[in-house]
Amino acid sequence: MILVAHNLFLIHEFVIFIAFYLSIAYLGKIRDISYYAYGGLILIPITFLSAFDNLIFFMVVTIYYYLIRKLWKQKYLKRNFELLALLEGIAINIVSTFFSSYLIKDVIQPRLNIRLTYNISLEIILYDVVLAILLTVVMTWVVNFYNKKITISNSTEVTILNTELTFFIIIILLVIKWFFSIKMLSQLSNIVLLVIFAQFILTLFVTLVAVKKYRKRNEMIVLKKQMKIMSLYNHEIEQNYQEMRKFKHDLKNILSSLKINNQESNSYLKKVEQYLHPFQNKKIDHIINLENLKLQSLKMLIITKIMDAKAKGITIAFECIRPVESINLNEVDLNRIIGILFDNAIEATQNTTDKEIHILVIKHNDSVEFTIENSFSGEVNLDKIKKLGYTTKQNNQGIGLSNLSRLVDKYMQLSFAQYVENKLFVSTLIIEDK
Amino acid sequence: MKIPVLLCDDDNNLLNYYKDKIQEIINTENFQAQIIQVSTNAEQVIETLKNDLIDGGIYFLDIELASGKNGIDLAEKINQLDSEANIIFLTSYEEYAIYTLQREIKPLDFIVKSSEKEQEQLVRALKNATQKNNKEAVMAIKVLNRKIKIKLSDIFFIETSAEPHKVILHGKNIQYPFYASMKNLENKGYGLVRVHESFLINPENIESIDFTKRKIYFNKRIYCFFSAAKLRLVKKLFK
Repeated sequence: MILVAHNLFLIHEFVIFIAFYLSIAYLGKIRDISYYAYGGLILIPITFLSAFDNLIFFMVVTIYYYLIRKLWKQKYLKRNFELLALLEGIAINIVSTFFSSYLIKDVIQPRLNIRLTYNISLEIILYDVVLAILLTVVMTWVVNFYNKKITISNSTEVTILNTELTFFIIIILLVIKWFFSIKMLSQLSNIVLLVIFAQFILTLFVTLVAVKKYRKRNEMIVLKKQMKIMSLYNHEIEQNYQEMRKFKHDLKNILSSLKINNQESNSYLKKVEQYLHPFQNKKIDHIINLENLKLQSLKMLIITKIMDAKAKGITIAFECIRPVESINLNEVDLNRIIGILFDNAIEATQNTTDKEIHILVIKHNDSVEFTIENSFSGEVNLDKIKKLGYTTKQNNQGIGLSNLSRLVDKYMQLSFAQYVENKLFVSTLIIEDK
Repeated sequence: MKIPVLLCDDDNNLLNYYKDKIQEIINTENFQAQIIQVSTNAEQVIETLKNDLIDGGIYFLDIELASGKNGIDLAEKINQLDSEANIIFLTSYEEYAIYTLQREIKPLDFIVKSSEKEQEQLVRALKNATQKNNKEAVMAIKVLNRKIKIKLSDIFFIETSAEPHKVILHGKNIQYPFYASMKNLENKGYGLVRVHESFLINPENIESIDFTKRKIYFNKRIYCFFSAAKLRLVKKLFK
């Protein structure tokens, strides 16, 4: 296109415009007949325009495209996507035509030994057109593949891509135009090539960084939303559970009361009781007042660990009889400590016959206590456990304990003890309010 | 002197039912106990405790008292006012925070209301409560914020730990770390004997002694060492 004005040159521009127009349709998945009809309508004048000036040509194409696709009417996502197709089409057009003429002039022509005359032969134009179309097809295919790879459904990512592409196109066009205006293009085509390449890499890089940053932020938002849903869900479960307990409690009371009042004629009552017996004694999880634990992240941790323990066949009891609004400890460290204690407890119960863990959160007047009791097998040696990271062969009470000691030592308000009572291994952590 | 018995439950029917039941058991088993108060209100119980100094009373409490105060708060208050209290919880179902209660209140027993074993449980609880008052020797220690009373007959031995001033008590199904000096424990009249620089034993619970390896066994697995210098003493103890 940037060779010399010639009649043949118009044909060259004509064919390449068709390829350009179709590549946009392909990338934008545009199948409306109107798009092609509008294309046909503009075919002749736009050919002249593209032979006249590249920059104006692309501007007109953009406006025309905007009008025929009624982009302002489209939904945000679709608009972004069609705009992306246009920008990609333009970029492909610029790169492919430049490359084809570069290849013809600097690579093929000298080899073919065609004499460089002022009137460029049909042959050269033909080579150029074929090459440009070939390049357009290949690049369109690659770009389409790339579009599928990135999550094109995400409008923000497409916006980022669109911005980058616009910059890419404008810079390349300006560079080419400037070189053309100072009549240096033929001599400096290598430099243009370099600029295109560098700009392309830069665009890719910037897009990648921007997309990554965006995704990270997006993930955080999603996570926060999930946390919120989770806590709502927790709340609901807690309430259901509470109601269930209350119901069972009332039922039992009513039955007892009835039984006492009708000592003589209670054969029917006995039947009712017998019927209800399996339901009444059905063991529901011993989880008492989970709603009293107001620290969301800790509650999540405990719920997760309870699920984990239950999956391992451990009977769990959780109790928090008084509301715990806040704890005088960095939340991250608190969760780490409780996590370690819980993991140790789960580990220790593994070899026991009646696997059992009790988690007690007790609010005292000026402190909060966490007590975890677990069944264990074999002998425990408290003195050795106290030493950093000690692990016995039978029960791994020591896993993570070195981390735990470090954490406990870090804070003045913490005191920690482990002991054995009624065949249970007990770990107690006390956090003073001060 | 008869041991005072107090009952508190917010359901009047159940209250009367248990009053009769307990009275019946006291009569038939001939326990030295007497019901002095039955009430549906926690405040009344506290009032009684404040007015008449009760020492080592037996308290039957409904855990989930409806009137604001729950059984745990009441039990804590009772423990403060009567340090020797025998608290027996009446519960509708084994659903309450029993593990927390066990730690916090150390109740003597839990009785599940109108279960088949109810009668049996009541007898057992009353028996334990009346017998407990024949004061058995105990050692009181403090593990973190919790006062723990250990029957001397449950103690095997006490050893020093790697941490200064901290000792570890070994006994029947128990192991407690606490802060104390071996010298103090030795001289406090618990009947513990120093058989090694690091070990203070309860001679009552010795099961066997391995004189060649200088080990004292309290059961098959739990043992401690004694020093050569104490050989004669250990031999005398084990006679």
